[in-house]
Amino acid sequence: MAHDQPTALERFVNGILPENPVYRQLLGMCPTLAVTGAMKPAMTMAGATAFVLIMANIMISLMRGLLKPHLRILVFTLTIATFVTIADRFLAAFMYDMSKQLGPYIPLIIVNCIIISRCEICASKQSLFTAVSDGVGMSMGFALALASIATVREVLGSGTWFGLTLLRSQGEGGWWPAWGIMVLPPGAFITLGCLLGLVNWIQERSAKRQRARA
Amino acid sequence: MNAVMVERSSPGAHRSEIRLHAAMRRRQGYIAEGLLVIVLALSFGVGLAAVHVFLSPIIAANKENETRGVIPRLVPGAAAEASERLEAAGADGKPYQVYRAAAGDGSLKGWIILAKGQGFADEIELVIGVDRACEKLTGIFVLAQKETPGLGNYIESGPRFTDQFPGKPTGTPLQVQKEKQTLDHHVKPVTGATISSESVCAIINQAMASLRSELARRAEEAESAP
Repeated sequence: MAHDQPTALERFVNGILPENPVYRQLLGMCPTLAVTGAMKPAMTMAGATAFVLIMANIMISLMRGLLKPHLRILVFTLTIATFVTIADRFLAAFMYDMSKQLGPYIPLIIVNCIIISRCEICASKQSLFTAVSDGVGMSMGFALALASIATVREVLGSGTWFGLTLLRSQGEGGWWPAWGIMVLPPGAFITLGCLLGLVNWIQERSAKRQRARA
Repeated sequence: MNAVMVERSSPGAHRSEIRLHAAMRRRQGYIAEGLLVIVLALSFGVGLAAVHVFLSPIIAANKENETRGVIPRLVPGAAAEASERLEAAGADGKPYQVYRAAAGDGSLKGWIILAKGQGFADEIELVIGVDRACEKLTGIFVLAQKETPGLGNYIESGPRFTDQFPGKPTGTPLQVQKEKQTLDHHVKPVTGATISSESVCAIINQAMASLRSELARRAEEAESAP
């Protein structure tokens, strides 16, 4: 069984682009749409998710020999919920503003499909090292996806990036008519749709080029 | 050990012995399977308790800071630094955290009450501002909530909901009224979040019912004192 599973390096690389959790697997849509109005909350969410994902992968991989098929989902959920609670309390203690802004979305990491799918697909079957590199790769892929969407939305919607002014908006005496809709929920759908289309188009083109070469 | 037992027993008892053995093994399996979950739950629980012990003072300090920050907004004329925190026992015997909201010169401007109660999803924590004699609300602020994003969370981020509270009477229980708010104590709920809105009103009503007379008495004392 072990020999036809991807290696640690493959797991790591796959998570970033070839199997990107948002653009290729379309998982974790709730935080992808909800907290990408600006870079700061998006990166806080990516960090919290990365912590939970890597820790859950470590725990599940360590006890994969003890897991029973009918109890595994229960154990996954228990593990994930524990680390989400730790992340939630940690943010409330040290990043209080972010914790208030993200509100219920941090506890909602518990139901983020990316994490439970990684536990099921990788961590419950492969070694600790593979599980960790899988967790790191997937977290980076998720952070990359959130960053791409948040960049588009924050720059177009408020003219800033990470709070730094890039385009001076009309409200501050500049020329940029900040597109308020990009910060609001419709902007999330529009941005995700456009970027998803772009990723698919690039994928298609490179596949065609490879076929032409072959 | 079991194998030895089977060897020693007579041939007639052999079969039932094996059956018993299998049943025992199965039962042990159930316990072993459950054991993993039980042990995990217990150890995670201990871990979370440790995290809580370590972090809760910091979280409480953050909340205290934020509460102090909103005092001038909730009680007109009050200054955050001049206000002091105290404990007040409600009529139902429940202790409340109360701030004596005072102006820069120390004169009493009103009261700030911390109250919490069950919302739709999780506990809602409110900061309630009332005037000196505790007759009217002067403002409310949602300190913590985990209501449904896009619906219930507008009790916090939708200004039109919290803006209607200043001036409401504390003597009559607030009541959510969807259609027409004809009376003083009627509250317009957040659309699609009736339960969250009713929870906020219920928390205020309970706090007012148990603290109203106590705060009014303290205000009178402060007035009669030289």
